[in-house]
Amino acid sequence: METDAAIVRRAIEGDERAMRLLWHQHAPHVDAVVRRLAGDPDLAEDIAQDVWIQIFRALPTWRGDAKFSTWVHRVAINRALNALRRVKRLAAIETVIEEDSAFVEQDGDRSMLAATIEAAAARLAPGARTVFLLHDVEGYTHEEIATELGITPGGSKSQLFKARAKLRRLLAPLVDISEAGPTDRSYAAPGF
Amino acid sequence: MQHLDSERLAAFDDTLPTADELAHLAQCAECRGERSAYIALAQLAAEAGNTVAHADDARLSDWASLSRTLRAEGLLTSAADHRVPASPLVVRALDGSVERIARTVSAPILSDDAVGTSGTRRIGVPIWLRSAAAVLLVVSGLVAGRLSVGASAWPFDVSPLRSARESGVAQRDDASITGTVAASGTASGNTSADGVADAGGFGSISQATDVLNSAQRQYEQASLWLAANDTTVRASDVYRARLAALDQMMAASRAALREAPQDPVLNRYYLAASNARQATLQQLSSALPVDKSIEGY
Repeated sequence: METDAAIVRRAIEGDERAMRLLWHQHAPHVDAVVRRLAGDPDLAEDIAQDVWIQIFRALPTWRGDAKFSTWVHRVAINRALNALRRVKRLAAIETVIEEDSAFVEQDGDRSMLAATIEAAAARLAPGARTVFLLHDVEGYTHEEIATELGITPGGSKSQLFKARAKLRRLLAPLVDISEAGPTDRSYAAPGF
Repeated sequence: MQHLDSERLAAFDDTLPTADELAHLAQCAECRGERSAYIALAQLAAEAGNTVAHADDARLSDWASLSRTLRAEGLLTSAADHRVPASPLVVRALDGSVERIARTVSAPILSDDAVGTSGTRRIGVPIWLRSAAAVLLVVSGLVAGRLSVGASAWPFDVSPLRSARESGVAQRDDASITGTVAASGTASGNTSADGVADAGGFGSISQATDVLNSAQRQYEQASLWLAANDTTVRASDVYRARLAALDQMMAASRAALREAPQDPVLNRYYLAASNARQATLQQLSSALPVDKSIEGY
């Protein structure tokens, strides 16, 4: 069986079969990443096409020290974030992040439970959703997120914890472990 | 007693609880449950990162559109543009000087037009070239086979062996080849004797395959014999041009074999081209001046 390195070498030379093979093998994973980050089906299609063009442009930079699928994953995330910035989806993150208005809903959404984590994340503000997806789903550190999004690590943490708090309410049936069910925490003192 | 703030609990993996918070957690089942819920949420999120799109999900990108863009950018090269340098012909003179004769061979890659919607692929070599190569191989094999047994090159001669004897050409001194032909009885010049060609066809697939295999063996033997014994003087350019053409045939055959490695017809074409190439190399070697020899090709 041909190795990733051999296929990539052929693809760099312009071999259509090799390029198509790479696309065929990795498109499902790229699609999943792009769908999560874009949040919008039409936008996701545009981003996916853009991601693949960038992957083929950047093929010569893959040195083989990481698995090819890992490299593709990184390129997909970076390109998706760039695309989101271009369409202004992340434009407000720097302003929103310093405010306490990252979520448009407060307690009014308690009855609107989500069936999946992606469906729940779709209800977050764009900046908070991106930080949550990058940290908890994709495994980025706050420093990496700060670099990618042009914010501070502290701002990334703040957005993440707010996002988690909202998601915890939206996903109560999935994450509640206590028999008592979700607790009304509205009386909890901020910062203890 | 006030419960812990939800955002503080959500930071379970970032900041260690203070002594007061730990004391509260030890006493409060609700806050412990909340903390567990956030841990479960993080686990769910991590699992979501491992999911990929289902096989039956529509792809976000499509290859037809993507390949057009890639081709426009020059990242995907067409068959016509994709030419790779072949290994040069290296001729070394007795005085040590080396002459490298560069060659270029069209690489056997697939063009976008060659990828059909059904998934079938065609070789990125013009049809006329493939047809010409096939005809050339078959005809040259036929002619060489007939010549090797002393028959005339023209296949429609009613009695080739008799004509050859009358012209004094048939009595070749290569007993081994004559013996082989006599034993197999399947050379093109002998098909009348078999009654196979005269019957307008073959009795079975195995019979036709046997004839084909036998003819191929004879063709190979004849090619090598001619390479060793044909004393006709030709300029080395003739052999070089032939080598270049044979290289293209081999490249086309090799590409076709990648698509259908078990195809016996394609295998025969490839082997025939390979044998012809070897024979031509021998002839080229003999055509070079005595102070030069082929070092690499």
